[in-house]
Amino acid sequence: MSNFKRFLKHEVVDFLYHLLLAVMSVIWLLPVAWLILNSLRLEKDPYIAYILPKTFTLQNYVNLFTNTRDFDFPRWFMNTLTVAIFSCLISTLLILMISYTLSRLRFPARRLYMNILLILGMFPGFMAMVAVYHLLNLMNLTQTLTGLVVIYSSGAALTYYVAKGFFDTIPRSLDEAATLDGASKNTIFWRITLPMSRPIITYTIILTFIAPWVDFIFANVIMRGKSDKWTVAVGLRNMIERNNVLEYFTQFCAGIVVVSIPLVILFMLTQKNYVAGVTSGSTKG
Amino acid sequence: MKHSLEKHGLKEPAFREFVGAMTKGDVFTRLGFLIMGAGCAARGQIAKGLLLLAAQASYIYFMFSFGVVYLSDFATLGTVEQTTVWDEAVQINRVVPGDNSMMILLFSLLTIFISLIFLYVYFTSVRVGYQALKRHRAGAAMPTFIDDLKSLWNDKYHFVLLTLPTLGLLAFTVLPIIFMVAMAFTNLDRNHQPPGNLFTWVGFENFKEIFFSHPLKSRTFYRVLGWTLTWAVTATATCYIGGVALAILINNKRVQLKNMWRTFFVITIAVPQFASLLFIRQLLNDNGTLNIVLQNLGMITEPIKFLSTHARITVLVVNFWIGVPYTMLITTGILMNIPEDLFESARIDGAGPITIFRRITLPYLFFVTAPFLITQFVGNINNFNVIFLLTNGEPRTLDYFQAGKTDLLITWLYRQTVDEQNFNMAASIGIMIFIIVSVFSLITFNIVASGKKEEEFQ
Amino acid sequence: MKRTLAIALALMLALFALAGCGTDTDSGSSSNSGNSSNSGSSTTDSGSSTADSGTSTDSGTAANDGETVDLLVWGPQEDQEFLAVVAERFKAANPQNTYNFTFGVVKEDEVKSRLGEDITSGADVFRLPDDQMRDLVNSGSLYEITRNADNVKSRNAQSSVEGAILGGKLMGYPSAADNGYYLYYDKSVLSDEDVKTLDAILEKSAAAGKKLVYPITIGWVGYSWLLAQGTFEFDGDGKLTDCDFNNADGVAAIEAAVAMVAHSAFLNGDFDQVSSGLGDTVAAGVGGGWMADAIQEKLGDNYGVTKLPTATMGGKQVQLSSWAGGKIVGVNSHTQVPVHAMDFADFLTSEEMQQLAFEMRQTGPSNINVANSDALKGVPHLAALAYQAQFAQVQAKMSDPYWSPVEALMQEINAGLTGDVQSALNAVVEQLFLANG
Repeated sequence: MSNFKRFLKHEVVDFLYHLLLAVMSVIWLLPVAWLILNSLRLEKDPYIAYILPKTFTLQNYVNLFTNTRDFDFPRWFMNTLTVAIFSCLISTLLILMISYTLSRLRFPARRLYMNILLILGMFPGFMAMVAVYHLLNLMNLTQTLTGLVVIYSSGAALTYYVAKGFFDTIPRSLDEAATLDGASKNTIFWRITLPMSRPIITYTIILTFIAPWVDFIFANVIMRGKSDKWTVAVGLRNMIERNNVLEYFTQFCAGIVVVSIPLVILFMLTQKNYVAGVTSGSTKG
Repeated sequence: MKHSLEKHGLKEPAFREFVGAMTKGDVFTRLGFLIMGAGCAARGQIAKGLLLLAAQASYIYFMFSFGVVYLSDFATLGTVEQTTVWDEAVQINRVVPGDNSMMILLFSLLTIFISLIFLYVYFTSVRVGYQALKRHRAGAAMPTFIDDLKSLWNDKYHFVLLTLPTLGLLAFTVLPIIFMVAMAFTNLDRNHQPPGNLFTWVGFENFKEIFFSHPLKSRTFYRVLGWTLTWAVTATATCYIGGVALAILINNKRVQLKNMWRTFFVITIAVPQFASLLFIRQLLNDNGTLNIVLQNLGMITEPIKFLSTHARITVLVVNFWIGVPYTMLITTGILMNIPEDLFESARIDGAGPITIFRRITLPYLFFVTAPFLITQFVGNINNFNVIFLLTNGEPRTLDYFQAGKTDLLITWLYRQTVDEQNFNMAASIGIMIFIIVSVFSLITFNIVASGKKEEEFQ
Repeated sequence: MKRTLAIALALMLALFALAGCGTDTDSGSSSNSGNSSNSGSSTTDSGSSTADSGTSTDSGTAANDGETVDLLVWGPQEDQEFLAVVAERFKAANPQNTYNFTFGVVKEDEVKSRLGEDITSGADVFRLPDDQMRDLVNSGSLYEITRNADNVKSRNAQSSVEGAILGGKLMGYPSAADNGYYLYYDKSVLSDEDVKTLDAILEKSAAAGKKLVYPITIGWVGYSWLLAQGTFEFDGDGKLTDCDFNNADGVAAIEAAVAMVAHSAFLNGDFDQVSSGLGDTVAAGVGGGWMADAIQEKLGDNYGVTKLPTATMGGKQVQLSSWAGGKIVGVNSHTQVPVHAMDFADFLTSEEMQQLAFEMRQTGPSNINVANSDALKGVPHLAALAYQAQFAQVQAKMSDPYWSPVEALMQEINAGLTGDVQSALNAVVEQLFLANG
């Protein structure tokens, strides 16, 4: 009897747990689901008061990739991917370099340098957009993808603290042993520390990879109407301008779904590392 | 370290070394004051000497071709107005461009920046020349260029690693920030827009106006600041609690398919906010799906005005929706990583699950996530996306100067630049945000860093 | 020049690296330029600077020598095709010169920002909404239009020309006069008689279980209440000189707006809800020309469009007002080729091209002849625009800060006005004058 009661209690509690999770998942996925439904809708209205499309179609996706005269999505996608890959590689390297230095090497004014970096990242960025634009212009880099890579990577170092926290947790004895074997600091960095840093590398890669896909302010200012150099964020937002939205809204939704796919895949592939990376980083601040 | 000066007892404080170069140096060291690298070259460090000379040459070239042009107008930010001249032949009023105050300000700052760096190189070059002389006099071995390069790869490896990131920061973060700070001291408002108008320095006028003298603007500033802080505290706390609770829920042993649940929540992160917030906006409209569903269920008769009357609550709830998955992701890892022996010793002491949670799980979580919490708080103060994309600060009110009830300082600032072109005012607001968040985070970060509690958990 | 500068800059930045090597009192200095040169020297011919216009500058008299002229033109996405056609025709009409056109996709309302950031790399010719003109003239970003000016003034409608004149000077070419709003309605719900008064619209819509969407929380639309009886005058330089919104008429107008918001058939929404909801949950809605095609397609035979209705203000029926806005083609004051830029802008806004714009894009023309053509009168929404224009205020002297106070008022009304109407209106008027700067 009591066994049965306990069993019942277990079952009920289990059920409640899963019910709660299911309800929450529905709430969280609702806008995403709606996005997907919209991307499969034939009716072009940007705003509908019903949920299920009256007619389903894949035409929006087809148009996105074939009807490129006005909105060259494939090109923007490739631009963004290019920028994302390069800025991700460069910023990851920069972040790792700077965090390793701050964690492992000792030099004058290190603490000051860390504090300065910390607060620099807190300045509201777009106030300085005009200045950034003109500095890029001085280097002939406006309206180029290179310019975007430079911008996205140059500020990366400001997010050093998580990676630095991670390096703090790698035992110093490893370095010391290597030094005794005659390895230089350079060798230690590349041969010993980096191979051990998979979690934190994953973490920084994700963070820096996302930025170009979602930035719709800087990219717009830097590209100045040169639409064949746009990124998806700029281009897609242009699709929902007053004069275009009535025609292109569902296509916009399809575009967003396509943009989200690489990010979801990246998340899923790296979920384990991502979680571990953040944790280890936070331990030491 | 084989060329260390210390070994020969020649180490001196930097400034004394600089003075020493003048008072005790030989003719070449002294020549180094005029021609950079002379001191080095004379002692046989030819490559180093040539590099320094090249640096000097390029600086001089830079100053004459670029720096002086702008720097000379720095005090006034330009004096020549744009004018027109009638061109009879083609019947147009030819525009004769005048000074552009914006360019003068920016490029003067750039020049000052580069000059400071150059001064440092100059100072160093004199010292290095004198060091070479000291070595020469002491009969010590002179490091070759190769030696120098090698030392970079080891003793001074931090230069190799820091140079590139620091250059990037200096050029694209520090200089623009200083430019912005400078704008706060000018009269660059909508009536002084270049290229047709000059703007100039006005001291603390803008700050005075925003903080005291302009009733509407200062009232707006304090009220928006108040809401910004309320928002930041509430948003950070709710997302944190919600995220931790969700992580604990998913981590519960009885929950099946943990990865699936996590993925569900993570997907929301992958959708760019400019799209997901657009959908939430549609959902919450007066005529939005949520209102229609509620009306059809008979729960309400009039639509709930999520985006106007109740906008402040709405933005907090939506931010909860956005923030919880992030916190969940991060705390999940921490929960899985709590050292098992912590629990064990507690259990031996006879602690129940609730006590364990309160005494061990929570403090541990709180400790390891403190930096995350601080950055979240700062991030929320500057949370542009959620407000801009969801409500754009609305509902506006006549109590405020071009701002609305849900406006944060950052969105107000954005509107002041892009729509209203009051760059000076926006810059002053920006500086205030910066002071608030930097003081806050410097204090809290250093408290967290110096709290030597790590041992408790390791 | 740019290139050498960039190299000099790169060198300077390399200095920084150099500087690092001396800080330790240890061994001497050297350069880790392997790192530093990357950052600056990236001038590597990313070239594509459409920025620099002008391989040639105008020489002497305009159009008689075989010059090669580069022109950068900005227009919104949906105008790109049209612009390309115009460019081809312009080339054909001016065979004496070689024109190289480059087009940039810049939304009309972003022109001000893009020029503000960097005028020298801005387009030579661009289109902008007329309420941004004052800001661009004040910032010295527009060329005064002097070539063929009399013809420009005479071929375009009086109100459009007035809109392009600031401080007594013609500062742009009127190119369209279709930026207004009016009433779209579903004829199966509302009769032609119903749509004459707001009261009838609300009543009939409520009876049919449908809504009226009036996007009053957009400042541009919100003004239609206060303008209905109010005075709102600017001087020649675009400064507000006269505004009586806080008199009894203004109070009556706002009270009428409050009553409308409280009505069960009223729905505050954005323009998207007008075009999407008509034929479904919406019986009538206020919107502009950009949504005409979509609505017509949706409503078919029930498609109705007319002027705004009258509203009951202080016991009498008063016609709701609106803005008569247009588009202006401007010439960059820093263009290297002002003569060619003006000639192209002139061509772009000529009668033939406005006719073409109407055919390709259904743009409402500012040109008198095109506006009076029969083809145009047959387009229902343009007819509604012309009808509403009789009750509209010219928008050209407006600029950003003047939208804000009325927008705030209307949003307060929508969220539930707490104070009394009179003091709210006093605040509006005070803030409007404050916007004079």
